[in-house]
Amino acid sequence: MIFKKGELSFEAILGLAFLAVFIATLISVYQFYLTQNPERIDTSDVVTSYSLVLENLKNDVKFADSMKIITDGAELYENQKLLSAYRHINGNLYRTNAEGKGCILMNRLEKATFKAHPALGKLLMVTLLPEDKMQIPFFTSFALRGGNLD
Amino acid sequence: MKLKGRNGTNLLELLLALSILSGALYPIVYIFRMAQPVKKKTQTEFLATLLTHHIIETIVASKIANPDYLPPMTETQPVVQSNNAVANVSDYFRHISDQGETITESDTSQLYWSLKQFSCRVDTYYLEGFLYKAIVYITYEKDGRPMKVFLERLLSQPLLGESDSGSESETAAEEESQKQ
Repeated sequence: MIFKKGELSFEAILGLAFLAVFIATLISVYQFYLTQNPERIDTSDVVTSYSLVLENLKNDVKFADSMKIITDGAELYENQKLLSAYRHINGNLYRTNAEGKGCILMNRLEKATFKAHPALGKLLMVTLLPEDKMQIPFFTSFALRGGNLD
Repeated sequence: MKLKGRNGTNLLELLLALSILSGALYPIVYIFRMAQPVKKKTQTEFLATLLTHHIIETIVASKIANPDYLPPMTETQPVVQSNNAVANVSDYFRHISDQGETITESDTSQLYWSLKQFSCRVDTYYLEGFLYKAIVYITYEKDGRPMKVFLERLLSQPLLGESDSGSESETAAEEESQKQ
């Protein structure tokens, strides 16, 4: 069997192998660091913001038994007491609780529509359209359960 | 190049080096896979989940309005009204548009084009224990493969006295239809 001489020496190939392993290790360590800091992964992801809106509304409609559609959003009531309010102001979606404390759930919103289903009075339909047209819109509904957590 | 022709390696040494490299890479690949972030939902999958949530919540609201209500089984239907489409838009997606009964191309185009790819179907089953199960499917295509997201909900059957509230069991999953 005839062995043909190559371009690189055995030591050079081992050196390249070591370099490849070293670079792969660095990438792995960096990726592991990112998983330990999930907020640094992709804070601009619209799905993350939508998930926050979804979770807040899901929690509120468990107890809300009525709603009031206002010009820039909606108010949810439990036993005629204000439970929370969602407002779209200057491109931001705010949620304020019964004590009036507010927080921004999402920004860079072009339009936020809150409306009651015309046939089902206790169904709140929410549509959010982001400024970035390449991002998906948010559309879903929430039934006001009024504490009836079936 | 200094290395050229000086200490050239033969095929056997090259294979040996490759085997060493492969062996060394195995733990690295293992660490790399372990360190990968948890798979996040794609935007399409998330939007499909929102649509299934919309249908489930519509069923819940209907049940609140009328405790005897049970959702009917439906065939696969579009969620928006396309210009040349013959199929009727699902009842669950009527009355949601600002400008008409269903979402059409003349509505907010961002919403129309995002929802156009989806279809919905509701399967229902009578179960033991006077329960009624509704499974909501939202289907779409991803890279030419049919995908679906589903949520299910248990409801109590009517005419059984006072236990109308039902129990809830919601699960979500995405899978290829072909796996069925």
